[in-house]
Parts: sequence; structure tokens; C-alpha cells
Amino acid sequence: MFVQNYYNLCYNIKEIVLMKEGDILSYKTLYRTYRPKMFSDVVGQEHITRTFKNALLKDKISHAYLFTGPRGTGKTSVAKIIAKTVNCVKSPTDEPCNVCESCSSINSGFDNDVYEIDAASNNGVDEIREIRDKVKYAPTTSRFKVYIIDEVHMLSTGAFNALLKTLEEPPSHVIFILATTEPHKIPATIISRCQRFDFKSISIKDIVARMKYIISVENIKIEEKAIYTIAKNAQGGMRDALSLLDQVISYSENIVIEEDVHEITGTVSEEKLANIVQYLILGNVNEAICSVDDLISRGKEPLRLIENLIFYFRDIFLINKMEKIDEQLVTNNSDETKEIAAKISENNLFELILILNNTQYEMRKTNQPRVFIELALFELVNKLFIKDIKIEKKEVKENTLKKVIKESETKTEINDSTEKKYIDVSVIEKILNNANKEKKENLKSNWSSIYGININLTNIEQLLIDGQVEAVSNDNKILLSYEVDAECSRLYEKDVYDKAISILNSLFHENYQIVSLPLKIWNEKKGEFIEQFKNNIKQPKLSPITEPIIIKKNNNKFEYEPEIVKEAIGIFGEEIINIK
Amino acid sequence: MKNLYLFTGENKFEIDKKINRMIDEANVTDLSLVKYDAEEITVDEILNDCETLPFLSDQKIVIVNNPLFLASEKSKIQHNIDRFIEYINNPNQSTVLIINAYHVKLDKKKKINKLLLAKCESINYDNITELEAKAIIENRMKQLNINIKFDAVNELINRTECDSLKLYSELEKLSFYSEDKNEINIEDIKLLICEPVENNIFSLTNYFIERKIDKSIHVYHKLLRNNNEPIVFSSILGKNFHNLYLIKQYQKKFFTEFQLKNIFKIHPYQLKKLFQIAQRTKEEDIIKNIHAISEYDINVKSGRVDKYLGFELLILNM
Repeated sequence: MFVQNYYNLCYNIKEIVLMKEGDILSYKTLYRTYRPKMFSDVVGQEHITRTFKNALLKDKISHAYLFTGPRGTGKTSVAKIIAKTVNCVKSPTDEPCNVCESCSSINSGFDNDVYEIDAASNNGVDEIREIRDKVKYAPTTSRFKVYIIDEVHMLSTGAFNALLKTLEEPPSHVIFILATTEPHKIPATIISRCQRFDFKSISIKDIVARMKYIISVENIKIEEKAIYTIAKNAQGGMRDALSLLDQVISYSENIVIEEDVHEITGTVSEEKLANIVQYLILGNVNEAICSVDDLISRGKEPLRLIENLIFYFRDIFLINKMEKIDEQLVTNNSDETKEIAAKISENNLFELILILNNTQYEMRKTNQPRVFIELALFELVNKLFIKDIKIEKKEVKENTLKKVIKESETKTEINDSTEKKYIDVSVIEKILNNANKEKKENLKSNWSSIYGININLTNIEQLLIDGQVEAVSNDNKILLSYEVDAECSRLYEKDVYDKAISILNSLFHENYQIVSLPLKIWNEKKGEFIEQFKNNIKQPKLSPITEPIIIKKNNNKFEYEPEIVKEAIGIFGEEIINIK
Repeated sequence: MKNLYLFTGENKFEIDKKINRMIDEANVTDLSLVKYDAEEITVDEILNDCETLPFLSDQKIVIVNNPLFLASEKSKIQHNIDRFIEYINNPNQSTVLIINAYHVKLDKKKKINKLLLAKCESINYDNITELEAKAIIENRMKQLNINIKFDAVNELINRTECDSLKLYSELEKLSFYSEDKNEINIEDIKLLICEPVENNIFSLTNYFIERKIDKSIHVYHKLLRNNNEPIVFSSILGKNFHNLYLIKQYQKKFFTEFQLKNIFKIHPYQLKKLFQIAQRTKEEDIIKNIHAISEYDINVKSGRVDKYLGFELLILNM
């Protein structure tokens, strides 16, 4: 009886072994089939593979590595490739041959000297102690014993301490490769013992390229758009992308279309979202509600739908705010979305997202989430549609305002108290041509020491601080730029200028002179200068400045009064207060 | 060689190097080289070993790591300090006892430490300064015949935080990476050298103040990719702003950066940066940010907003 059982057990084990080797198991998931087998297969981590190839070729291997990075970026794969390369018959080499005995046994996962340990399930001190005890023994067949510890952040504190001891003085025939997605959970003492490599998340472009390769090998029929949707959904993880691809293939019948991917992930396509928002902008609530209802009746979860809407608006927000759109961050980035983004004002967007967010919060607590979505659509229409008209009104107002300003400007020209001054461009030219970078950096880094002069800055010190040091010439002329034109022009007033100079010179013990420019003009001139300089003109000539600077002549005395002083004067009267 | 050595300081790399050199010079057999962890083995046992004669060599080296019993913290196991004092006063002539107090802050009030400092050859290795780090990098690059740009050197120092162990490890990596290159620029450094999380959050503070939405969003997503919780860095961010506010108040009272070093228990480099930021920033802006962060905290914890979306909104609305 006992013998019979034992025999059965042996037989079962043999069968499992056969299955693992792939003889009986007919289908292997894509991400396992296409797991990179050599460094050149690894996608999106050139900085790491390059470093390792060179190190391995020189046979200079450190005994402990720490791989960090998001899931599905190739940590374990690279670890396995390293294990193969160091033990390959051809070593030292920069790529494993994948043919020799050692390589193929590691590929099948049965090598005696390569240990893959999942720290998530072996997280106790005892397991690590076991490693510690066995580490001493020489490898059986290969050159190196390689320990790959996956998810190493799951180890307990005791286990980490035990591991640390081994890492401190490992025998020369052992390599430790620790992999983790959460480096901040690893004690600093462990990190400092290892050579650390950060794996980057894989760009959409790289994922698409790799998927296209697999598709062509496996002969899968799939729409181009669907590939992109999968890649966007994977969020930088190759494994996620390939398992999603696997799912979609078994889900759809002949050819995989974009909608299949959305159905599997439960997301709504960008096109549909854009449609809904377009209706809202046009004020057509009816159509918007119809399309939402249509989506729900086709089995989309209302909660997922609102989440998708929130993220759609979030993407619009980002498109509006960011100068350069990163497609890894902004997944909804079609031209249609960009068009919509241009139509919605920024202040509005924040409110819109808050409305949707509150709706989501309410929806979790109700049995009728659909009603809340529809309500939210009404609210959105109010904001999107009516506010736009308001903007037009505002524009009108602005126009009239501008007129008034212009009129007042023309009036001020007649007024005696102002003076127009055209800045002589040759002064700026001279400064730029004699610019001294060292002096500029020096001055710039010390600029803030103006703060140290006084607790409550006088208005002139404040004026100096507001300026940006753009250039300093060899003969100590400082070029300052100002965002506010009025501030800039103040430096052309004689008494202000003198005071500013005396402050600067007593502070830095130099003989400085100041030329100030409005930021707009400075940017213009800077552009001109750089362009000419790039075209190898040694002494660039700038075009004259056409816009005058308006300077007040009889400046009414304005001295900086801190809030507290004003208050004190209010209470005690001006005579009693003695400001020191 | 003397009979008693005491190593102190934060520079593990230099300490280890020195100890290894001493072992090489002494030329002892494996059997006469013993290492102990003072958190696992009692002083009694260590001293028993010190008092026995070396085996097959002239001298015996005993290294004591982790001597927490010298610090003011409480040690995990009970040590017989009296016997240790006795031994220090009268060491065995054939034994070299090395006490490696790396990362252990000696409690100078303790009698034992006064004695150790008087009797031992005590060597202190402090962490390298920025200038030293720069020299190390430039030397190494010269050896490798690689041009390294000025800003790349700064970035490298910034990312390794003047930690010599880290610096050497990263330099080794760089040397492999740049095998067939003759120039390293800042992009290479950014790609290859790991950045500590605090550093990232620190730059986030800076970007918040400067209202650089693009960069903030990028840093935020970089942090997310390592599975950090947004709530964690919102709290660090809050702490940074809190410190900024305090520094601002001190600045009004003319405190210099040097004086603040004793008041704030943060990394001197961070203090330097915060000090500069505080000079540039208005008090209202700091307070506004603190309020925004606290509101985010409340909203996330009461489930009103998704923690990832909420943080983005925090950035977008800054």
C-alpha cells in the first residue's frame, strides 16, 4: 500500500515536470513565450543592458545587485540573462548562447546553481538563514551560484538582517540579484551593499514596436488602433501589455478591433468621450445623455464611465497647462481632444472636475448611479455652455477697458508729469558683447543677500530684488529685466537710480551701473542676439527698440510701510510713532 | 601595530578600506581573524577570545562591529562593561582589538568612552564633502579618459548625496556604461544614476514654489512609478513647507543659515536649499501651499477624492 502510494507520487511529479518543460502543456501565454532570452531582446532599458554587457565582457561582476522599477519592465528577465551569461560556456561574453547545457537548463528553470526565490512567500528569517548556510558551498556545475530574490521588499526585518550578513561578506562564487517594485521599503543598509539599477517604464512606442514584432511572428490579425489602445492601457509594463493582448485575442473572433480592448478593460474609447463633451459644449444635453445611456446599456459600469470622464477632463487640463505633451502621461491626446481643450477655459476645468468628482463620491452611496451621471451632465452643460457666453461678455468688457486705457495713455502723454524715453539699443549691445558669465553667476547667486540689508526692505531694495540679473558686462554694467513695466521704468528715475546704485555698491563693494529692461523687450533682444551669434556673427547688432518707456517725472514720495507700522499709526497717530 | 583601535564616523567606505589594509599588513591566518557583532555576542565572550593566544600566527585580530553599548541608546543584550574597562587598561599584547563604531554615536559622558579615546588609536572618517566628491569624480574620469561636464558632476554629487559608498558604486557603473564613449553629459547621469526619493520630493517643493506645472507633474509620476503612496509624499511635502515657513520666520529675525543648522534637524544640503527658497518666496505663498496640502489630506482620508487624481489637481491648481 505504502509502496504503491510512493510510486504514484513519483509518477505524478514526473508528469508535472514534463508539463513544465512544455511537452504536454500545449499553450504558453505570450508573455512567457516572448520573455527576453538575451540582452538584445530587452526593450526600453538600453542604459542597463549596455552597462551589463560591458561589465560581463570584462568579467567584472559585482556580487550584489538591486533592480528596482515598475512591474513588467524586465527586472527578472535581465536577472536571468545575467545568470545565463556568467555561467555560459562561452563566458566571459556579453550575450548568453542559449544553446549550451547551462543556458538551456536555466531557461527551463531547472538549474542547480541558479535559485529563484520569491520573497513574497518565503519571507521569514528561516528561509534566508537557509540561504546563508548554503551560500558557503561551491556551485555544483557552473562557475557562479546566482540567487535571484524577487519582490525582496516583502522580507521581514529579521530576514533583512540575516540577508545583510550574507551580503556583507559573500563568497566569491556567489551573485545576489535582488528585484523589487518598491525600493523605499528596503533598508538603506541593504541598498548601500548593492549596485543599484533603476528600470524605467517602457515607452508606448517601444511597447508598440515589440507587440508588432510578436503579432507578425504569431500571425495575429489586429487593428493598428487596438495595438495603441493596449499599449496605453499597459502603463509602461510589457507583461501587462502582452497579457492584455492574450486576453483580447481569445475574446475576439477574427480580427481584433479597438472596441474589443475597451470591452475587456471596461474603459470607454476616447472618441466616444470626445463626442459627449462636444455635445455638452454645444449645449445639447439630450444627445449627451443619449450617448451615455447607450454606453450603459451596452454594459459599461456607470462608475467606470464617470472615472473615464474625470480622467478625460484631467487630460484636457494637462493639455492646456503643459507646454509639451507627454503621451505617457496624457493618454487621451488625439487632435479632437486638443481641439476641445482649446475651447474650454482653465478656470472652468477645475470646477468641472470637482463636479464630476463629487458625483463619483455620491454615486458610490446610491443604488441609482445612472441618475447621478445624468444630473452631472446637466451641471456640466451649465458650466460649459453658459460660461462660454460669459467669456464673450468679458472679452467685450476687456475691449472697452483697453480703449479706456488707451485713451488715458494718450492723455498721460500730454500730461507733464510723464516722459517718454527710448532706450538706446547700443548700450545693451555693448553689455551683451562684453558679457562676463562668471561675474553674472557670481552676482546672481549673491543677489538674494540684498535681503540681509534690512528686515523691512525699502521699496528700492524690493525693486532690485524683483529684477532678474540677465547679464553683467566686464565694465560692471548690470542688465536687469522686469516683468512689470512700471517697475522697470522706475529705475530710470534719477533719484531712484542713484539710491539703487549706492545700495548695490555698498553691498558688493563694486562699481556697478544698472540698465533695466522690460522682460518683453529683453526676450526679443535676447532672441535676436542669440540668433546672430549662432550665425557666427562675432559682434551682433540689434535692431533699435521702438517701444518707449514711460517715466513719471514728479514721483510722489512713496515709502514702503509695513502693515504693522500702518496699524500702529492708525492707533497712536503719526506723531507718536518713531520708526527706527 | 597598536593593540587597540577605535574607528568612528559615517564614512563606511574609508573605514572598511583602512581595516582591510590593516588585515593585509598584519598577515594573519584566517583562524586568527575574528569578527563579532556586539549586538549578538556579549563583551564577555569577545574578551575571552581576545585573551587567548593567536593560532599559527604572531598576532590575532578581533573586530567588533556595531558597538551600540558605547552609544547612549540601549543595547539589545547585557554587556559586562567593567570587564571591558579592565581589558582596555591592560590589553593582551598579542591581540589587536578593532572597535568599528561606524554609524554609532559615542556617548562622550560615559566613562568607557573617555577611556577608549585616551587609550586607543582612534581614527575618525567623516563623510566626504562636496569638494572631495568632486575631486574623486574628476580623478576617476581622468583615469578612464572621459570628459565629464560640469553640470553632470554636480548632478552626480546631488544624486549620491556625498555618500562615498554610493559614489564609488555609481562610478563603477558609469565606467562600464561609458566603455566606448568619451563624454558623459547630464542626460547619461539622469538615466543611469538612481535618485533618492527625498531628493525628488525636494525638487517638487521647489517646483511648487516656482509654479512649474510641467516639471511637477513629471516628478510626481516618476515618484508614482516606484509604487510610492501619494499620501506619503504629500506629508513630506507638507513638512518641507512647514520648515520653509519656520525658516522664513527666522530670517525675519536675522538668523543665518549657520545658526539654523542647530535648530533644524535636517540634512545640511536641504537646509541650504530651503534657506535659499525661503528668501525668494513670500510668506503668503508658503501658507497657501500648506493649506492646499492639508485640504488634499482631508479629502483623501475622507474618501472625497481619489488619491492620485487629487494630487494632480493639487499640482494643477497651485
